[in-house]
Amino acid sequence: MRPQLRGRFRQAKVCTFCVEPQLPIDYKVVGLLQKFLSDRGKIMPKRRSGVCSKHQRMLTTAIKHARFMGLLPYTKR
Amino acid sequence: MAETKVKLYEAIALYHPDLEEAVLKERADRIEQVVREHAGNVVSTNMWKKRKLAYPIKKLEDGNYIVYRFTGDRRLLPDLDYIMRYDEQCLRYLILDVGQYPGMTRGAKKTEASQ
Repeated sequence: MRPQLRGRFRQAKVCTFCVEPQLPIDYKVVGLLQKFLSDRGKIMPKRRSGVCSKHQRMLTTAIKHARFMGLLPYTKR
Repeated sequence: MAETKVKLYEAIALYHPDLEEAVLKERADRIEQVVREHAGNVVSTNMWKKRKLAYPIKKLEDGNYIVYRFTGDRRLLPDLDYIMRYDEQCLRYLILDVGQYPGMTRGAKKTEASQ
């Protein structure tokens, strides 16, 4: 018999930047920053991405700098 | 008295897409000259090829980026700011103290735009 899962199954989240210390959090590395934006261009909350508070702070600053310089969008349609 | 502490700075400027390479080079040289006048040292100047902007700035869809890295004390910053601010071909600019952003110096030298 198949074991039944009760409730929602959640995968344990780990901070990408803690796991890979060589990953830069730089406003110029747009490809990486884009992974932390929603499809509307909003910054992904850490409860969704699993990024720790320390790296989330760095990430938001980097994204905001990239947005100002026209490297990332403020909004997407 | 103001302290003369040498720090590593990074400046990025977005220029008009119609500027030719020679003109961009001229602007890069001007910035480098200012840094040297203040006893600073230019670590690198990186000219990106023309790229599309994520959203239009002054109704323009593309832009030329130049990234400067230099060391020096903070007294050179107002002059640098002045040059970029009153350059009509410079659409946006940003000057950062690299030491304030630990994320930028993490690991690999992946400073190129990844696209």
